This record gives sequence, C-alpha cells and structure tokens, in this order.
Amino acid sequence: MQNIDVAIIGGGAAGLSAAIEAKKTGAENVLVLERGEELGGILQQCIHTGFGLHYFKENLNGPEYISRFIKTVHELGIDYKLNTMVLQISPNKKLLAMNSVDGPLRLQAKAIVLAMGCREKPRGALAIPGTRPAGIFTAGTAQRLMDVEGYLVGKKIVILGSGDIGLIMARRFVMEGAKVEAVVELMPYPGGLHRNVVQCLEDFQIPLLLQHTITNIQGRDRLKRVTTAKVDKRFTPIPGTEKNIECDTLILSVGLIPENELSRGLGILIDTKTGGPFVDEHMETSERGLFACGNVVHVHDLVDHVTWSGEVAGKNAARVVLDTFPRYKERISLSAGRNVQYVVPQFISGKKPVNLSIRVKRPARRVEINIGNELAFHKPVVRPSEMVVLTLRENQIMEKTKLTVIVRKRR
Amino acid sequence: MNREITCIICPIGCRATVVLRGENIVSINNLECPRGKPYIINEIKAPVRDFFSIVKIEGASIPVLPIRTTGPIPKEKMLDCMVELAKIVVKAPIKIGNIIVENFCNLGVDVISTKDLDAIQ
Repeated sequence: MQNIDVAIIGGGAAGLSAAIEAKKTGAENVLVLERGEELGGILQQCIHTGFGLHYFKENLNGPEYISRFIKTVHELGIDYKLNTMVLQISPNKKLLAMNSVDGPLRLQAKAIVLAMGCREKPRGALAIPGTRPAGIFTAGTAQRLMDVEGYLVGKKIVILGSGDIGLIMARRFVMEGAKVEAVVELMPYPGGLHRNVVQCLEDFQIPLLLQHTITNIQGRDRLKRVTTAKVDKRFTPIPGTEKNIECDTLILSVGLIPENELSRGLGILIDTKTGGPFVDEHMETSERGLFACGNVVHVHDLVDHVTWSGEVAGKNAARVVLDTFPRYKERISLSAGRNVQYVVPQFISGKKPVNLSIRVKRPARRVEINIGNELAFHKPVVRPSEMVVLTLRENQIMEKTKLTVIVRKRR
Repeated sequence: MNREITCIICPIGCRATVVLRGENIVSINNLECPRGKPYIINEIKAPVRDFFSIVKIEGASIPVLPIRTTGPIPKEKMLDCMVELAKIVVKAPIKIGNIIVENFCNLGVDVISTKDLDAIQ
C-alpha cells in the first residue's frame, strides 16, 4: 500500500489544474492517475482555436492550452501515471488502480479529486431505427480519428445534433475536402455556442435543420443514406415530412454525460440534473475529503471554467491534507426553479464569494435571474448552450437554509 | 442589396440587416448595441478567420501535427490555404511555437506547431 496526500483521477484540464493547485497550496505528495497514453485529456484532439480567451487572455488551440499545464506539472515535480485505470475507490480513500507496468496498484490517499470528465452519448442511447452499417461515429471519435490519427472519416457527411463538437467537426470536414450535407437538430434552437453556429455552419453554407430528426439509417456494409423528418412539439416525427439524404457518414453530436461510474461505486450523492456529484463551494462532494471538478461535475462549454473549478478542488484537497480546510456548520442549498436546468455548486456557505454556474432550460431574452427573494441579476439573453456565471459576494445572502434560482422575463 | 449577418461579439447574437449599394454600406440595422458595428463592417469589407489544421509529420508517435497561423487570415483564402498546407511534411522532433512556414501564402502570418512531438526510433 502506497501512501499519498492527494490522488487525482484524470489528467485532463480539470485534473491537471487541481494537481498544480494542490501542490502549490502545500500538499507534498500529489499523484495524477491518467487512463490515456499522454496527459491532457480531450484537449489534445481539440485543434481549433478559442481556448484560454478568459484564463490566459490569449487565443490558443487545445494542445497549446493544455501544454502550459503539463509544463507546470513537470516544473513542480508532480508525479503522474499514464495508461493507468482506476478500478475502485472506497470512502476511506483507498484506491485500486491497474496498469501494465505496476500491475494492480493499491493506494491510500488523504484526499481525492475526481476529474474523470465526460463521455459522448452513443447511437445506442438514441434508438434510431435502421441497419448497423459502418460510417456512424460520435463527433469526438471522428475528431480523434481525423486530427490525431490522420484519417478522414467520410466524404458525404450528415451530422445529428448541433452540439459544439458537431459544429466544429462540420467545419473541419469541409476544410479537409468532405461535404457536409446537413446538421440535423431536434430542438428549435442550436445546441452549441453561437459563434460556432456562425463560423462553422453559416461560413460554409451548411444547412441547419432545426426541429428535425433522423428516422432511418440505411446501408449494408457502409452507410448509404439517412432519412430526416420534421418533428412536432413533442419531438415526434411528422408523417409526410421525410426526406432522404445520400451520405456515407453519420456523425452523432447529441450530448455529453459526466463519467461517474467510479463516483457511483463510491456511494457519493449524484445530482440527477447535472449527472455529476453534488458539490459545495469548495468542490467537496457528499463524502468528506473527496472533491470533484470539471466535466465530471457538469458539462462545461468553456475549458477556462473547467480549469478554475479544478483549482478550487485542488486547493481544498490540499487544505484537507494540511488540516486547514474550512468547514462551515450551516450551509444553504441551491435548487433549480423555473427555466433552470441546474445550479452548481448545489451548496454554499453564503460567507465567502462564490461563482454560481447556471444552465437554463430554454432560450429567453431580457430576463431576471432571481436567487431566492433576495437577489436579482439582469441578463439581455440566456441560452442553454451558454452557461450563465454569476458571482455572489460574501455575506450577500441573508437566507440560512434553502434558495431557489429562477429565470423569468423582466417586467 | 441586403445582407444578413449574425454578430458574434456577445452572446445576444443580433441578426443585423446590412443595406448595400454595390460595395458601399448604406445602413446597418437591427443591432442592439454599438459594439457590433465594427464587427459587421469588417464582415462586409474584409472578413477574417482563425486558421488551424493538421500537417503530416514523419518520425513521431502520431502521423499528424496540429498547427495554426499566428493570426487570422482572410476568410475567402481558407480553402486555398488548405491546399497549400496539404503539400507540407514536417519531421519530428518539433516543439510548440516552431515556425513551419514563414509568411504563409504571402498573408503576413506564419504557420506554427501547436504540439511538442519527440522523434521516435
């Protein structure tokens, strides 16, 4: 059994910033456990620019952004293990991990940071009728194949879902010489960031079919065509609106799910609205000394916010080790009310400044965001694709136990 | 002639209607704030975009190297630039920030590496 101060599960944007901050705060023995063959996580395949605009005030691509953290990990002498799969974590902070060099690894940590990120929804989660030919990929898989491994996945492409990765891949496919026939979106509004709709679809005149879905997949060995149809308000395909699109590839960009298999095994409480653990302003989960950050908590749209959440988790994990962790007796629970999908953190002390991340359910203009009856923030526009971040100052909240966050039209 | 352009300066995403006479802008309508105007004018006169892609690399653990240009390039040159980029093969080792092509396609920007890749045996 190897003893460590802080064990970090996952070496992506969240895990690395947690590791760096834990080390800087004073934890001596920090260990990052990474399943992949290099540090960096998903950013290594995100070759588009737009990363770091907030955190570094620079316009970087994914590999550049994460390389800065990898460099700091090396400079601070933070230990990490690659190709290492964590199999089990127990509440007393024992870990079982495995790799092909060490075999089974048994570790005892004083604090743990969960930073496993998220996974894409696969075809199986969608129940689209039809055959099972080659040529159907999730957007992230296509991204990895194209931009890390160097394969163009197809020539005539249809994209289902208008999440950011799907939009970004639409542009990459066009740039690499493929034709994108259409992006098909179930909702009446796009799923991805506004700037991506403009720069990835409008720039290349790629049709965006809102309130449409795919009702059939055809092809024996390779995909031959898909059938699209318009949907009604209940998302049911409308008979008579079907159209066939000839294509050799279908890309799925239909949502991301926080990867919480380990967290569930551990028995920490999971918020069904985010798909991630309940956390407080220190990013501590329902289990003491166990922290979580980044996309394992809720799916972020900007990596800059992932980095910041990792820093909070890492700093507080180190404070647990150093016995300087501030624990408040009372805490206020935040819950999602009208037009709010979720609020993170779900618990705050109200005694310290804290950033709230709020995901709305539906787009709306000229809104007021109410936190209980006490606070109102005005926003000109809110969209499900763009997380709202509000900063609460210390002692701004008088309420002691429970607050509901709602978004409503300004009167 | 009218052109519709979505402003991307802030999350509101105003759909601006631009009235054009030939190449001259007669008016820009439907913008909710003054910040969008310079962006819309640029989009009409000389739209630019970030440029990034991959190039072939030999002797590294992966076959392609992610690259970007040091600044944005004219939007209409993007596909031509991709054709030029396809001709380039680099050799490992390479470091982040290494210049791969200086003054790419005479656009006044360099193509740089965005990843460290060691040479493998």
